[in-house]
Amino acid sequence: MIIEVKDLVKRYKDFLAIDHLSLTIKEGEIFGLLGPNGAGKTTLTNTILGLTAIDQGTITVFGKELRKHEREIKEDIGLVPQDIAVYDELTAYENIRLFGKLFGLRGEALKNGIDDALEFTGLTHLKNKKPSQFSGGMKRRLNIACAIVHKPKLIIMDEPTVGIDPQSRNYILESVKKLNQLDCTVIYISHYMEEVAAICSQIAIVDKGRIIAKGTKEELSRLIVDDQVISVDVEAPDYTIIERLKNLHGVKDASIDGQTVRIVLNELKLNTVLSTFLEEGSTITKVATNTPTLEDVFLTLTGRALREGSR
Amino acid sequence: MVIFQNNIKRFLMHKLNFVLLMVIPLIFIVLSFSGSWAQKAKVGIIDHDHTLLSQKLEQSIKTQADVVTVTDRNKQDQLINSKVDSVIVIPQKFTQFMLEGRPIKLQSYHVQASNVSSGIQTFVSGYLQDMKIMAVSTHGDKNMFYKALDHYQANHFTLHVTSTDTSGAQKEKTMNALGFVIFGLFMIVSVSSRFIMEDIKLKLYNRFFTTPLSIGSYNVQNILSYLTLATVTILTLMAILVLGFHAALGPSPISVFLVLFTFSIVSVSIGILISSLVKSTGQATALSQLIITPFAMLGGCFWPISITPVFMQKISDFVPTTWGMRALTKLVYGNTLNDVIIDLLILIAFAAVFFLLASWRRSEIAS
Ligand SMILES: Nc1ncnc2c1ncn2[C@@H]1O[C@H](COP(=O)(O)OP(=O)(O)OP(=O)(O)O)[C@@H](O)[C@H]1O
Ligand SMILES: [Mg+2]
Repeated sequence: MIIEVKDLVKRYKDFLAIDHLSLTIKEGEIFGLLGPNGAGKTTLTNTILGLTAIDQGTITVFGKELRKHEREIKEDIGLVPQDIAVYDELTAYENIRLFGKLFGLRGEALKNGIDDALEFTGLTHLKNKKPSQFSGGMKRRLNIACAIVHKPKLIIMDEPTVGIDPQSRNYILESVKKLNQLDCTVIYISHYMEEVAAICSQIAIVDKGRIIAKGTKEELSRLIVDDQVISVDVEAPDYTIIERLKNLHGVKDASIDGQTVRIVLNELKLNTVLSTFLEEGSTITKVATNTPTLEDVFLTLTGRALREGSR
Repeated sequence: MVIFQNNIKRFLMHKLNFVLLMVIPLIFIVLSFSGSWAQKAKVGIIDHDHTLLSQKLEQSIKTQADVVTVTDRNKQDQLINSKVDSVIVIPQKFTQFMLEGRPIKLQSYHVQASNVSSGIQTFVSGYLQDMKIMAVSTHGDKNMFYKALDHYQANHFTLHVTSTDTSGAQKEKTMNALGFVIFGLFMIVSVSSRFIMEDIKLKLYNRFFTTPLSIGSYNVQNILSYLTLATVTILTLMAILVLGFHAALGPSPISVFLVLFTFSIVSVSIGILISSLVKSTGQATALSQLIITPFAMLGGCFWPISITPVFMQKISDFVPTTWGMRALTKLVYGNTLNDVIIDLLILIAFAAVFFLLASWRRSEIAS
């Protein structure tokens, strides 16, 4: 086990950010942490690095207890922070060198580390440019380069693809896979189902400071695999219909998003659902059935969309 | 020492930092030593004798200082309000006594510790001394005496006076210049608070601690980097003062360095305190400016505290610049390290309080 978190509690005053959370991550995984805004993903990773004081629980990294070996542990971790954190006035090369030195690299090792990090993130040709001249995607890549210069055993990436173009995003996803092939364990935090589904070998869904589901992509989908997801577009959906639908035997979940009513059901026939709408006097404009995605898993488990306005 | 190096590098990258710390003080140092604008004392003369001789005395004082007419009645006010630096009273029968070779003493009043007037005192007593010698050697012959006096004034005098006046004026110029050195070092408040706020704003402050770097090490390296910059500034400006302007740093230039260095520690502590109080780089710069210039004014960096109103003098005890300037004045006017220990301790106390407030405030934010 590369990480073992037991019964972790973190409070901000009265607010419970991490709620008795336990989690183990095996070496060699690309571990996806999926959860909506404010779920506690960043807080969780901060506690793993000892950056945030915890109220309860134990954290073991690389088999060592965090509290006693914080410095040692940090030497082998690279954290790509959610917010881009580099000096605008230093060049890409100088930024990476700064972090290389902070991780204790000197001489040849430092030089090689920087060159590899630049190459890995595809920034070699931009190494003498300053981030102020970079696009969002390039900055994100530099943000990553600063965290891998010391060739850590564990890399934590906190939403590394926020606000960038598809090309940069693919580049980053590919490099995460490459890093993993180089014997690096990766914790990948994201809002994006597709990303997590594409690269992660294990996925944990976090909500309100707790892990509400964990497994491979397939295992998670199987949670609702016998289910059917129906989207019904009606002219003016309201909560009376949701209540009625939820009370039907066989309906696991029902929710409204704009004009669309989304229903997860297992035994029921489509007829029963549609007749409920008709009884309510709703005008149906469109009906679609889908097989469940990770997004549906999430929605069913938490009752909320992963990203606001994403559906 | 990665953070230390990085800070020095960041400092060197921006010309503005140089301008603040070195160039501005340098400009004022040059101004301090050029011309004699600062040294002309204002002297009030009350002439009770009204003779040719008393007028001649008045004339020769005029070559050394700005002469203002005062009366017996308003001389106190004039002095207190600093309209004049000193008042010289020429008594009745001054001329008669002089020619008869009898002892004369001019009464003079001056503001306490005003070094501006000391030059004039020296000048006048030297002048009287020489007049006495002339009176004795002309045996009370009025015509001969005045002839000798004219001759004396035309040739000998100016030379003699400027030479006695030089050391006093040079000290004053040096103090003037050191005021701006202190001002330059006070700019470290701005540099340090800005650097720290930038680290915080760019989220680098948090990111640094994802590496094996500890908060303690970060703080120490930061403080060391600013003190190093201060030391380089002090040594450069002191070298320019001594080599370029023959500044009178007093008997112990090393003590001058010590005072300036201790003052830099106070600057750093204020900078760090500011960074713990504000929310952005802009606020840090604004608050720094709000503190630097008024504190420099109150502390006497731009003009002697003695010319400021009494209430300001009272406030000035509570600003560190005052203690820096006080210590420097003592050193320049002949004292040694022993005499400024108290001032140094007070400066250190200022720094300690500011550091404590800052760390208290930081832990407050953290929790
Ligand atoms: N320093 C803090 N003080 C008070 N509350 C905080 C602090 N940091 C985080 N929180 C709260 O803790 C909760 C979890 O925050 P966290 O940043 O871990 O969420 P997240 O899952 O990373 O969200 P996002 O996807 O938006 O990054 C949030 O409700 C947040 O408001
Ligand atoms: Mg986050």
